[in-house]
Amino acid sequence: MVGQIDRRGLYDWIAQRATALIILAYTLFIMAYLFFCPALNYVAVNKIFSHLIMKMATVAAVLSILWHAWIGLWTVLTDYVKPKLIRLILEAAIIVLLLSYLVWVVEIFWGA
Amino acid sequence: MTRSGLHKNISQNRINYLGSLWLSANPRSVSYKNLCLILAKPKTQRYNRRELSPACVFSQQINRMLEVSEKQRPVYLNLAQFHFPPMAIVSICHRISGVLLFLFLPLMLYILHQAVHSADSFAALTLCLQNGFMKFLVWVMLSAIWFHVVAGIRHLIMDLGIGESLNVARASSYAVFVIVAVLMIIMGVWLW
Repeated sequence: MVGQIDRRGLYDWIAQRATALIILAYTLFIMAYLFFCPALNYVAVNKIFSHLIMKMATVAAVLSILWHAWIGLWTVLTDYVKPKLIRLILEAAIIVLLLSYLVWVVEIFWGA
Repeated sequence: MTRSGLHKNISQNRINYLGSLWLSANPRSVSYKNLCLILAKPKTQRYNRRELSPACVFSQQINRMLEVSEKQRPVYLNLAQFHFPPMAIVSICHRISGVLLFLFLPLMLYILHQAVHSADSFAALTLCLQNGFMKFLVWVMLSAIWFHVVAGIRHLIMDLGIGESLNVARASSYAVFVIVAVLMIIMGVWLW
């Protein structure tokens, strides 16, 4: 609606940077672990990912990635896909995909 | 100067990006002699904020030229020959790597799932990642991660107001490419 000014752009801007920092910390930790872990086997990986803190960090990182990806992809779609209907369909598909990834992560840690 | 001489000049002395955009947006005819005089200027010129930017000078010169040009001839501009500043290339690569990372999300989650599910699935994953194509996919994914991370850190630093001047921004965007290239090589060595 024209004339209505909200602060969504500002919130998106802050959220994009805040989530970026969370993802950055998690990525660097995982990279360092994979790179410097002496023996990368199932026992070691299972042990580290069974810690509650690691599960919390992973879920926090995945939530951040989903939010960050949504802001980024929304920007890209707004810039490059001009027809409104096609853009709406793509945006809906992206939201469904991102939310399904959240279900996947819950399944990974707390599934049968 | 002949037509081929002009052609050579465009590719050698790369046109200032904004100036070239201006020209492509205003495809009015320019005499060959005057266009050559402008394009023959050196690629980079040192200038400070008090002086006019090269793009500004460029458009002023063309304006002056349009006034004096006696022959109205169409100018052919090859878009493929335009030189994009490194900052623009970092920016578009940041976007491309971001979209790539979105497309790689299922692979990341699949690897995590297989790695923590059971000893059998971990062994299956290890076997799967021995495959050359899978290794290549993982390498592309790691490269995209590192590009997005390094360019993102540069972006965050600039958000803090550091390194926003033209020269520093150009240097830091070259630095991004160098750092990512080194990381890509390290990732390749580590995987293979």
